[in-house]
Amino acid sequence: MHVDKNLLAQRAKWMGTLAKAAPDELRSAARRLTGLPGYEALRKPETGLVMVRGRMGGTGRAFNLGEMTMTRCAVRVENGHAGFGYVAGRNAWHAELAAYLDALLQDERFREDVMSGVIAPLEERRNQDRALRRAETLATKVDFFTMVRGEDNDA
Amino acid sequence: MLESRTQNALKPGFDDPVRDSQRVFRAVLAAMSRPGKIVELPESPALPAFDGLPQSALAALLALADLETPVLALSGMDAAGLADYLGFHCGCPAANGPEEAAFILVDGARFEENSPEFARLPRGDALYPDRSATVVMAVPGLGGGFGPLLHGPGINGEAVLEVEGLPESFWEFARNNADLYPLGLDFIFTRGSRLACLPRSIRPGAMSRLGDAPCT
Repeated sequence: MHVDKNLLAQRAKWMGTLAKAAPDELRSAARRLTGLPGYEALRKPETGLVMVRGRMGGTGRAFNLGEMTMTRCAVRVENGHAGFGYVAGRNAWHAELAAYLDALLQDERFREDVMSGVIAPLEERRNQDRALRRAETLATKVDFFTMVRGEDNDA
Repeated sequence: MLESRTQNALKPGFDDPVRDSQRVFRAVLAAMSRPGKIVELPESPALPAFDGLPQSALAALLALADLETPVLALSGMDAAGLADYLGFHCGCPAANGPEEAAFILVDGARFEENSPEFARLPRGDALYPDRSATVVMAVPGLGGGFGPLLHGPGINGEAVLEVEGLPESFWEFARNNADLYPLGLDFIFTRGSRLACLPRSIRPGAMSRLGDAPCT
């Protein structure tokens, strides 16, 4: 079994993009794709809890932060790859769509199309949202500095 | 590339995991509580075929196995494929040996060559008789009208365990197993889409003769 590290990193990234995308935007982007193969469900969407763990400062001992609701799904496209979708919340079709697109993205025949048609716009959208939020936050930033002490002389 | 052997070998499980596994669980419970009773499992067209493994055995495993039940497949089974498949759908680990198996999949016709493994299966202990293995066995004949006579808990009078094609040494083994009660193994005999059970509480008796099969 040969695993391409670079592709693995890419896959982690696109799975993250698919999971974090707004479901409606993901669906409308996916609808613009054409010539796609059918698929079968290996594991139909199911909702459950996952324990989110963390480490203080990223290095300390792992602790349980809390549980969150998550929906997962696994599919296989015709003559092709198995894809997995894990999304926060209870949206079954979001998980299924994410799994399907993950399977397509692993397939060289479809990767370019899905990358440019779905992943790139979603990432761009996400970056815009972030930039916007960042700008909004920055606008309210308070710089603390020592004010010039007025000598209270009358003007 | 990206995919491992495991991922590519993945096959679908129950069509409706929650309801299908509940139905199968109910059927296995009915069979285990009425030793000798043959139950027909609900159809699960989505389930894949594994060499040497009846569909009812696969369905029973899908319904019963979970994170805490290591599964072991003996010779005559596609052990690696089954471990991947059940691991994916049930989250159950593959047992490293008979000692840690909670479920064991075995071809009944090969009982003799597998008997060393059978000897090492856990029987539970006096404090925890439930820490024993359940044997899921593919059998050459089920429901043919002949087999060992049973009586005891769960049986009104007498019943026939209509399992055929197993070596006499197996029935000897099953009788010794029942003598360990409350410890011991439980058996699920599977063929096609049907199954019957023999819990440790029943000691299989002599083989039924022609005409012995009770009218039910």
